[in-house]
Amino acid sequence: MNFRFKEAYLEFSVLMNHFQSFALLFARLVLAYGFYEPALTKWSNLSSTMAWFTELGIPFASFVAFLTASFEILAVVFLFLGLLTRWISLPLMVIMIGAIVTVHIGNGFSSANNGFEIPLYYLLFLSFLELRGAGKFSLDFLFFGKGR
Amino acid sequence: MLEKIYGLSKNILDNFQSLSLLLARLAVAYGFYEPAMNKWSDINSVAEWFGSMGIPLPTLNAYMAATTEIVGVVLLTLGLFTRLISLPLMVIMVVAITTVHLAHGFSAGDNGFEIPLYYMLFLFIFASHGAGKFSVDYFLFDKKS
Repeated sequence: MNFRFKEAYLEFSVLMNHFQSFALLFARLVLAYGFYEPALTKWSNLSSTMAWFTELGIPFASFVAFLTASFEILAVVFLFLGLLTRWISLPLMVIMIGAIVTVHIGNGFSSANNGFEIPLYYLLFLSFLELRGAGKFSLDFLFFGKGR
Repeated sequence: MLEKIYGLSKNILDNFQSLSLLLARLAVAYGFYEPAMNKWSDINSVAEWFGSMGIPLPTLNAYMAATTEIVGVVLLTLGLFTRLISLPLMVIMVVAITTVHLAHGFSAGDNGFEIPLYYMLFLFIFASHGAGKFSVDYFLFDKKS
């Protein structure tokens, strides 16, 4: 490839690298907002959430329902603050996989039919946060510095 | 010994990161495929539709949006010029949100701006992080892009 073009593209890449922490912040805020409603719905009537989980055939349904509701409400706070981001992202990824398998996969892909489109996107966003951390605009960076 | 283990685990995590970038690229490419094909199948009605929403130069913009979207499908799949194509696609998402989806609120169920917002976020991640190891960019730009 043309050497000058290559040089220019790499310079462009270096410029865009500066936006990494913004992208991670944006992802965290979107996910925190996304988990807010399902978390509150689960907490507002925990016993019906437990009944729903039993109906879906999830083992230890009451316990899993309580755990899911807890992680989701923690996620809202922790993702917003960028606190212990890699710790909270992993159980949330498990929850997303559980949601896809037990609820959404039978409905196909499209979100219009309550398919697995949106939980799949969440799973991908969470995997970025799990592998990249919270970025510089986070409490993780403030407390633990680089490499967190 | 410890350093070796650390190096090894870092390598594995790097590969996972590239894998999640690859999966995200494929998901977004898949998402753009249908709207791109719909636009090309009847570009005149797209131009009319753009005009009715008050977008200036509707015919030109219809061609530009349709072209960017179909090129985006190919480039995102290959991971070629990933950061570069992500920017105009982000602009398209912003325009789609403001002209079409914003009035319907957030939720995807009501045709709100939820899905285009997620796409914009994916594209922002591609623009700032590149395409990862499993891409043409990685080979074309000497593993630096």
